[in-house]
Amino acid sequence: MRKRWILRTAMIAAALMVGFAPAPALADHEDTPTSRQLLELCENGTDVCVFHPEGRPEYVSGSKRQVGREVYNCTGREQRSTVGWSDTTSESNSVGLSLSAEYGFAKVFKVTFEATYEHTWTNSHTESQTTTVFTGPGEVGWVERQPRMQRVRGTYELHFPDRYYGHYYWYVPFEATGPAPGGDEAIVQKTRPMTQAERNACP
Amino acid sequence: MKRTLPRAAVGGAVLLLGATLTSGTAAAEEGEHCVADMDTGEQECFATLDAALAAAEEGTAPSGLTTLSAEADARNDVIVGTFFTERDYGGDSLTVTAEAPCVKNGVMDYEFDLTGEFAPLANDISSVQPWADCWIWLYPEVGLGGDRDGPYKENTGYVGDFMNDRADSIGFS
Repeated sequence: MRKRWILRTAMIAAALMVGFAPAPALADHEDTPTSRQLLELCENGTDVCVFHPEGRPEYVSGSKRQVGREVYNCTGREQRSTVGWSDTTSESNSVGLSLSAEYGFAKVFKVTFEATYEHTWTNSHTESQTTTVFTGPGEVGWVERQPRMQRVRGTYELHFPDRYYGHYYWYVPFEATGPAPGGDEAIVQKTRPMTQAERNACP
Repeated sequence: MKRTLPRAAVGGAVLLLGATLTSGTAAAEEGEHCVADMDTGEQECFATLDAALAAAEEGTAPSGLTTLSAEADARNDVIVGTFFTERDYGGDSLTVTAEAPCVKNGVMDYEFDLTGEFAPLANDISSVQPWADCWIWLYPEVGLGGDRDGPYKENTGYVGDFMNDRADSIGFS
C-alpha cells in the first residue's frame, strides 16, 4: 500500500498536469492551445477522447428566413399561388470545426449523442415543400420558415500520452446546435402591400 | 490506497465566482450543481452545470506553463466523476475532483459518502459519468456498504433499476 502511494505521488509529480481550454476557439495565451487545436487531436494523438454531455438536448427555434420566391398579385382580386421551396439547415458549434468532416471529435460526439439520447444527430437537413400563399390585390406574398433546432452542451476530456502544452489532461467545453428531429417550428405565409416600384413592374 | 472525503471539511463551501454561486443549500430553479474536491473536502455549488464544470476545470488548470512545478501539482486535480439526480444527465449534479486519475489494479482508488452536505444526493442518483480512467461503483450504504452495482465504465444515462435512487456511497476504481 505504501509503495503504491509513493508511485502515485511520483506519477502525479511527473505526469499529472491538467489543462482547461477556454471556450473561445482562439487562444488568448501563446502557451495555451485553442479548443480547435485540441479537438483536432481527438482520436488523432490522444489516448482517450470522451465527450461528457450536460443534460438533455435543449430545443430552440432557429432563425426565421424567407424560403422560395415572392409572389406578386397584380390583379384586382385575391390570388392563390403555390410556392415551391427547398431550405437547408446545418449544424454549428462553439469551435467552428465542422461536425460533418472526418474529425475524431465529430465521431465521438455523434456516437455519444446517439447512445445517450437514442436518436440520430443530424448535421444537415434539407426541407422541400410546396406552400400555398394567398395574396390580396396589390400585395406581395412569401413563405417564412423557422426550423426547430436542438442544442447540446458538454465537455470533451482528452488524455495525451505525452505532455501537450505542458499537460496530459485537457478539458474542452463544447456546444453544438443542429436540426432537430420533428421538422419545423413554423412555416407561415406573409404578405405586405407592394411598393410603387413593384406596382410599376406589374405587367 | 483509499481516499475518503474528509467529512469535517465538507461543510466549508469555498466562495468563488460569487456572481454565479447559489447558496450551499438552497436549490436554484435551474437546479443545484456542486463540485466536491476530494483533497480538501470543499464544495462549491452553482446554478448551472456549465458554471460548476467551469469551476471544476478551472480548479484543475494551471494558468500556463510557468505554473508547472511540483508545488503547483496539488492544484492540478482531475475530474473523476459527475453524478446526476435524473436520467440522461438531468436534474441536480455533483462533480467530484481528485488528485489523480484512477489506476486499474483492482483496488478502489477513492471513496465518497453521500453524507453531510452531500446528503441531498443520497438515494437520488440516476445517471453517472466516469472521468479520468475511473470506473464508478454505487453502493446502497455509506462506506461502500451493501450490494454494489457497477462498474459504470462510460457515460451512463441510467444506472439501472437495481441502484437507481439508492446510492449512499460511491467508489472510484
